[in-house]
Amino acid sequence: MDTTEAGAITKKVEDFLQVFRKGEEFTHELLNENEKLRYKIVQLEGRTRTAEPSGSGQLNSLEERLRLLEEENRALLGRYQQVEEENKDFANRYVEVEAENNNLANLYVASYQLHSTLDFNESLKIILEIVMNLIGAEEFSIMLLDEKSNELSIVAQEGMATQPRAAIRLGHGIIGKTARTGEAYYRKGDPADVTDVDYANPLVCIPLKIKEHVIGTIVIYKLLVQKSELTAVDYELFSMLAGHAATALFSSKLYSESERKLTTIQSFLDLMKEK
Amino acid sequence: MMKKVLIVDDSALIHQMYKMILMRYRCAIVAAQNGQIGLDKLAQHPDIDLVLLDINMPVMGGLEFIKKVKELGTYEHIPIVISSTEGKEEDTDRGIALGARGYVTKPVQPSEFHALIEALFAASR
Repeated sequence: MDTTEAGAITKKVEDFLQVFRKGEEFTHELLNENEKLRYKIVQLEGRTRTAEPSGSGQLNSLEERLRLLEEENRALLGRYQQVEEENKDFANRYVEVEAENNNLANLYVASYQLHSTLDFNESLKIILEIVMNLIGAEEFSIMLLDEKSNELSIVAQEGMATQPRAAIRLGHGIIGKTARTGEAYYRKGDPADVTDVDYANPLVCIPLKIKEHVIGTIVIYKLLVQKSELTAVDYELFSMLAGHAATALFSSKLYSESERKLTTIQSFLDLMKEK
Repeated sequence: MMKKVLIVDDSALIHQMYKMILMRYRCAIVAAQNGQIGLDKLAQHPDIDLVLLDINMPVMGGLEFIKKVKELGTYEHIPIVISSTEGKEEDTDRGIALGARGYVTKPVQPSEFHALIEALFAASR
């Protein structure tokens, strides 16, 4: 081997060693980097391990809050339904109270008017108006009992045919029986179903009573066309009329008679004074 | 503002009944016993908001009252509600044709009456 060849081989070895050293350095660098990364991973794992318990706690607390809110929502829905039911009850009650109020107003108006006069004819007129305007009767009459003859005769009427009607004996027919027993009579069946009025078979017959003493009757034969049925307030009015109309008629009649007597006595006294 | 209602009816019972029904509106009531008195009251109270009018009355009936109101022209804007005991359609039809804004039949049903009155009051606002 000559020196030129030996020199070339030495240069190749040195080049190889240089490449090898660079590779060694690079491998060291990679190992260092790897070490650093491993360290970072360990650090992150540690952090994750410490952070995990509070995250799950938050989740649990949120779940609990959600459960509570759902419960609250259910309770509110229940309360809402309850309030709605109560509201319906109040609405129904309002309608009932309104109807009751109207009934009481009618009764008040009727009784107030009945006792607003001591004039017999005016009392009769008021009773006619009540039966016509508040009850809604088209054909009806007021009959008074003559205690001497025991007969009931018409003293006022509305809507009925004008021919004179015979007096009814106490205890005879529906009207006579009502006056005898003092029990109100209501014909069975549809009150609006009236084709021909039968004066012997009235729709309603109310005794006019002062305590248990009957002084006459209110007899209804036919209702107005727009009045299809008798309502609760009508029965209340009948009941009120039975007592109040009787006292109104009785007291106004007594008052008229006493007025007449007073005038007669006064005239007599005046005559005496003149003599 | 307080509403003013003129009631034209020959029955004291009806006057009192309307007063009771109208109590909730806190309105002032002007009373007349027939159409002629009703016209006089209209002249005295030109600010009347509503007239409740009976058909059958002595001296001057309800239909004649509406005719007179129409002739006068001054009170045509005031709504008139007619009431009829008989419930005869021809009476109410004639009243409506003459210019009445509504009608009630006796015995008055408060619920129907309130609905009508509230609608008329609302329209006049």
